[in-house]
Amino acid sequence: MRLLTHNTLRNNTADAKGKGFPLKITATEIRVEETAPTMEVDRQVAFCKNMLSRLDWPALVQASRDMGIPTLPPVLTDEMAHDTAFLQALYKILMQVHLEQGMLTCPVTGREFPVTNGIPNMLLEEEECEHVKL
Amino acid sequence: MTDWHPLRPLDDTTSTAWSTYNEEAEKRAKNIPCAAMPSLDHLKMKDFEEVYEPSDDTYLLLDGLQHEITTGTFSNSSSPLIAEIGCGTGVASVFLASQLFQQNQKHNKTDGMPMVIVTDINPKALQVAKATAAGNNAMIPFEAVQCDLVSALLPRLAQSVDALIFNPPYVPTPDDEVGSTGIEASWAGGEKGRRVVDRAIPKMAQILARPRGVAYMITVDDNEPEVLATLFRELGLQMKPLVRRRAHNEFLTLQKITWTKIDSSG
Repeated sequence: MRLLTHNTLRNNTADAKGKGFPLKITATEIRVEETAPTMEVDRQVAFCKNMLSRLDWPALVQASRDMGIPTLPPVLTDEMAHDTAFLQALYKILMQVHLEQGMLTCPVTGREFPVTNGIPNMLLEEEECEHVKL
Repeated sequence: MTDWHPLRPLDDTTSTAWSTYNEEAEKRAKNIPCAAMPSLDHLKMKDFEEVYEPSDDTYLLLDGLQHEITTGTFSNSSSPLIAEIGCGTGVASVFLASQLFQQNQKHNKTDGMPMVIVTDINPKALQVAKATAAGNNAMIPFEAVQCDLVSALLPRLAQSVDALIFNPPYVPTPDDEVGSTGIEASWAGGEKGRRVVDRAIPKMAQILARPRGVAYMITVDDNEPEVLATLFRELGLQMKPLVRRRAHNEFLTLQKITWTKIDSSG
């Protein structure tokens, strides 16, 4: 699971009351992908530029810290959003760092979601989902 | 037989209009080339005891997606986000992403890197789908999330998906066969084959980008597609048959779902 994906996941059980985000990461196994030689810098930068408006920045900062990457600034400035070197580094964090084994924990209820072979199990029990408004 | 003809309202879900759409979709299906199936060499026969094996519905879905690529439906999407609900082996989203990737390489576009997120309730299907992606085009970011429909991705991915693929469990079965997480979940659709589809429709509307997002969904005639079209229309979406083909004793249709043009609120 990439950090980009983590940035989209929410605990939607009824008792989280819509506040089950962002999920806290406890990492057991992390895999860092090598940059593919054919993946041009232009493409990475364009990809990040497209993604910036969709990201929850504080959630990404927290998640990257949970993964042992303390380098992201707490606030994203306009300047950074146009800085090629920054966007390239951001691509690495968003797309090339994978949580292979670990646990995601809801900040409100403590509900745990295991990550196995890079796949988060977000499946809820029926009794957990009642009255959920998304 | 009847000697009077009631005036039909100008409604494209009336049976006459619908059967015209179906005829057009059948013609279209006859005239398009067969899509090349992504490689499933990484799978063993035993895997198909747990994960839905590509069949006539999958082939129709791939042919329809190929038609969409060649007619330029996705040519304006930059970094399109592709999502597939109930991905099974993942061939449909891997096919679409690989084709778009190759098209962008050919035109030297740097902003067209597709990204794929698939869901399934069957964890084995997700492992297989990841392997399908890795075995066919390891360049494309491919993410797998185990959840019901797209539940864990909402509301964060609301109005974000450019191409949404759904080959649902559409086979009419007794209702108590719905709801497992094993291979039965890939086909058991309950009454009229609609138990899962009806729940999915509002989620599809939520996650689809506006106004450019497009969804593709397989139906059989037992699902009463005209009624499905009405459900989509209430949410501002239009559903029309894209390609249609007979398979054994049923007619399979790939429905294309788009935001209605008159709706400009999004």
